[in-house]
Order: sequence, then structure tokens, then C-alpha cells
Amino acid sequence: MIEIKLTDLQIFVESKPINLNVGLQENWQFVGASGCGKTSLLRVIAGLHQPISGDVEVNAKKIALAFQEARLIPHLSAQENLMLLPHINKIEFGQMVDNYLETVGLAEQMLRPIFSLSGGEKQRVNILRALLVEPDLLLLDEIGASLDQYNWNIIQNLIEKYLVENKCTLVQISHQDSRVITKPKVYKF
Amino acid sequence: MKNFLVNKTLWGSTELARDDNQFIYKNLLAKLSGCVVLLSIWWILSLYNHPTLIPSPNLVFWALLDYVFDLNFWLDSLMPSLFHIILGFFSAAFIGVSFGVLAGNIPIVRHMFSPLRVLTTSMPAAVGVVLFITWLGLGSTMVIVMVAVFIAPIFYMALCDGFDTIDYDLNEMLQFYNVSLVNRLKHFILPSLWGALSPAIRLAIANSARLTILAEIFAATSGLGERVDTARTYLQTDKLFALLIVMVLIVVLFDKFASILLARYDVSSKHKRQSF
Repeated sequence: MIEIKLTDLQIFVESKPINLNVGLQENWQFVGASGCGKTSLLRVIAGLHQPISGDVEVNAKKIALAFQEARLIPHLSAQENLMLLPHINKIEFGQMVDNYLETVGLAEQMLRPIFSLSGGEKQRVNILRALLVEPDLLLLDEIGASLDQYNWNIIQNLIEKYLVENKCTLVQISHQDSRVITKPKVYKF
Repeated sequence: MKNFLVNKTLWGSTELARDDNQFIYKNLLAKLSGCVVLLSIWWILSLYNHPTLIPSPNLVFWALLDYVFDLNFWLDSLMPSLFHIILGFFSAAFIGVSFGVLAGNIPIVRHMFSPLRVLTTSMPAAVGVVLFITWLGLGSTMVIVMVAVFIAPIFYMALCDGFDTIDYDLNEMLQFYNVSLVNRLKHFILPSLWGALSPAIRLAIANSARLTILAEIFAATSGLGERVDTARTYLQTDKLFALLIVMVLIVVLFDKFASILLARYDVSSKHKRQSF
């Protein structure tokens, strides 16, 4: 079964058409030089960007995108940022503390405002937010860039566990081969 | 161990105080000494000039006391002026915010409004008074309409600037994750606009008071402005000075009230540099 179907998709005027089928529970990595359109393609799949031409078919019910930059409201705490998600209530948030926060080492940082967190801590909140949506399709835009090796290993394990348990499809962008989740299929621009 | 409060300026850092209390006392002392200097200059000038030109602080104090114990002053002058200021301010806020939200979100509307904005912001207030008297005659309506028309652009421009500085990447994220409009307004849009809107509100309050008095001088049949006109006609400079003090007090009180309210709702200021 196909989760994402891209047919003659053109992101920029001079870019070559993209044809790609991403199957259910598959894991893909987009690779290419800076400015070639990797992030734009991810945004097209997420429905945030309109292509110049071609067709996009996404069959996932719930999509989550972990943005390259954390995109959190700076004056709110990490907890308040996560509580903005429409389906999260306080009880679920308590369960989430048990499930995720201790694992990713954010339990103590949850009540601190975002502006006081480090880049790596913000990125972990960003990734947690994406997982809390419980998506069928997870899009990751260079999430490893601001994480140290220790935290990357934790996040990697967490996402791998999530993919298996929730039968989720993954599309990721990473410049470093050491910062990809499991062994992905590669699409080169 | 106590924290040292440091004032950071373009010229470097200077130590202000060892703790909050010392900082507050130092500021209060500086303000009081500013008042004493002003009073001294006024008193010295009054010694060398006729009271119709510069009345002494003593004379003005008694004129002020006369007003305080005069019920007619409260009912016929102070209350109508306060009514004009408040109604003019809120009418301006309603007009300015409505148009500002439209223009901040729809670029073509902003271009359409730009001639009107230029007209209202560059027109001298005295010309406005003459025009509004011609159109609306004398009385309270003219004063309120004039304040509303002249103050609305402050809100309008603040909102346009505010919408320009909104982080649209954050907004995109909130829309992507289906965050409700109420939460977006409460936690993101309003705090983002607050930085531009907050100083505009304080500016609008002070200008509403000033414009109200100006319009009342020319056109009102009641209010502080009407008293100013009478005092000017009979060369009662001591009363003129007393009325000036009343007006300054009104602006200061409104400004203080506004700053307390604004600070209470300024959720985005937590991470800003403390200003001195």
C-alpha cells in the first residue's frame, strides 16, 4: 500500500520532476546539496507548500513534522508548548511524562520557559511534540544537527521504537549519514 | 548574598544598587530632585516677573486649592474632560484596532488606507479643530470625534508594525498542528503584537488628554479646556498654571494606571532585558 505518491512533481521552476512512491511503514531519506529542495519537498508532503506542477497524494491520517529549527513559543514553558496540541489533556500529559520525558532527559526542563533552554533541549521538545501527535507519517527535517551524540542516540532509539510500535512511515532529511534513523531508502536530488 | 543591579547602556555598565529596595529609593530620590530643581527655577523666575506673566508657586497652590474645594469644578470641568478623554480614547482604540487588524493582514487594504493615514497623521491638530467645529458645531460630540480621529492612527500603525514583526514560521507550526484559534490568539498573536501595541496605548492616553483639552479650548461648553479659555481671557495666570498641574496629574494618573494594566498582561516581557 502506498502512503505517499509523487507524480511529475516540480518544486521550483528549473528543478527536475520528482516521481516517488513511499510505501506504508517505509523509511526514506532525502539526500542532496544545500538548496536543492529537500526541505521544500518535505513541506509539500506536509501540505505547507504548493508545488509548481505535478501531483501529490498523501494517504496518512495524521502527519507530524519536526521542523529543522525547533519552532516553539519562547515565553511559554516546554510543557505549555506541548499542551497546545489540541488532543493533549493533563492526564495524557502525565502519562507522557512517564513514557517520554524521563527517557529523553527533559523531565526537569518541562516547566522552564523555552528561551532558557539550550538548542539541543529545544530540539528534543520539538521531536517530542511530533511524536505526541501519534502520526502515521513522521517527517523529520535535519533533527540531528543540534543534538550531541548522547542525546542523538536516545532520540534515535525513541523514534525507532515509535516506528515499530505504531506502524509509522518515516521520511527524513539528514546531511550526516551517522544521523539517520535506522537504514533508510535513499532518494537523491 | 545580594544581587547587584547593573544598568547596561551603549557607554558601558554602571552599578545602580545592591538590591531592589535601594534601586527604588535611588530612582525616587532622582525624581524628587528633578521636581525640586523645576520648582526652584519657577520660584526664581516668579521673583523677577509680574504675577500675570509667571505667578509664584504659592499663588498657584492657593488657586489649585480653590479648584479642589469647588464642587462646580469637579462637575462642570473635570468630569466632562475625563468623559471626553475616555470616550475619545476608546473610540480611537476601536477604530484603530479594527482597521489595523484588516490592514495588517490584507496588504491591499494597507495600501488603500495609506492616504487616509498620511492625512490624519500630518494634519495639524489646530486645523482639525477648525474643520470639526465647521462640520459638527460646538460641544462634546466634536471633542470626542476629533480625539478619535487623531488618536486612531496610533493604534492603526502600531498594529500594522506588530503584524510585520510576527514570526510567521511559528504561526505556520501552530496551524500545522491544528492549535485552536483561542490558544493562538492568547499565547502567540497577542503577545507578538503587544510589543508594538503597549507603547502605542501609553502614547494614545497622553495624546487623548492633550487633544481633549485643545479641542475643549476652542469648542467645548464645559471641561478643563473651557476653564483654560476663561482663565486666558481674564489673564488669570495662576489659575492657568493650576489647571496645567491638574492636566499633568490626569495624564500621569492615566499613564500609571495603563502601565500597571499593561505590565500585568505583558506575557512576552519575561525574557526581555530589564530596562531602567
